[in-house]
Amino acid sequence: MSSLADGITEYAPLAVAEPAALQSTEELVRVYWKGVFRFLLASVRDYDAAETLTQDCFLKAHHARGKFRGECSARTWLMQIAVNLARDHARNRRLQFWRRTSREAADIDDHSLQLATRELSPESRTAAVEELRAVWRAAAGLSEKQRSVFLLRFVEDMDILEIAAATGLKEGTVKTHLFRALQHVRSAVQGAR
Amino acid sequence: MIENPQENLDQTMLRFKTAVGHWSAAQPGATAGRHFVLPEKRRFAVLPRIGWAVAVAGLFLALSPLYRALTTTTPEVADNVLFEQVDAAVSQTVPQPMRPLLNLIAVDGNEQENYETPTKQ
Repeated sequence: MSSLADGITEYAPLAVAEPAALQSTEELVRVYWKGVFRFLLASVRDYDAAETLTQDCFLKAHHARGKFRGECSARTWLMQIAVNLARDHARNRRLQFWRRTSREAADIDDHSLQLATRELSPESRTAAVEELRAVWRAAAGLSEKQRSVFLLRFVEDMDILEIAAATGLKEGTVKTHLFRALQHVRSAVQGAR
Repeated sequence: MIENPQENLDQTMLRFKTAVGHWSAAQPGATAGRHFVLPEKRRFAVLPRIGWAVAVAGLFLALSPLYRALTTTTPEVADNVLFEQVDAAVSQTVPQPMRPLLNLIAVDGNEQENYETPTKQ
């Protein structure tokens, strides 16, 4: 993996076997469900909504499978649907502002943070967990597009071109969003140190 | 040893990815895909069809009184129609067998008119 010096350098793409043609919907569900759910959960931070949106994502993919032309990978195509669903969900939430107070946002748990820092010594681990909490909070404060780009990059390991395809943004716009998101996150992490 | 802040951020982002992955995988929704069934393969896919049938039957029942009111005639209306038919039949001034003679009278009338309008010389 290369450095993140400019915030937008490439991660090695995730090793996912991509078939030449679109797989059956059952196969798509089997291979990509976890990834789509993870992205949606981190985006909307609501367990039930994430599960519902993931189901919607695969249903939409199933109904639109005839339109898939293989211009991008199946994973990117699914993420494109997921990004749109997350955006629509955010808009609906804004419209239904009276419901916002009724449900608390899902928060990343201590156990997951401990697992992610288990290679560290107990002394370093506390600081590292605090940094991860700062990243989590900072991601919540990002704009919708910045958050999508940030999560696709740093949680889903997608490269710039894949993110551009998934979000419908130009490559340069993706880089700009990513740069600003990283600036925001970096300052949050520095504040936590 | 001097710490490289960029390297630290790289490590933090990697840990962040790992943490989100663990957190997401621990949720019931992460495995819900195993129970995901496509619409046409649902065992109870017949239920929506029953729903449609019930809706159509309800609509039919709701509209049938209106249809009956529009199509059936009341006794008074039926009587009036009958009276009009009888009246039309019996109030004819010329009986049916003598009807052809009416045409002859009409021809004579035309001739008389022609006769009564001589040209002035």
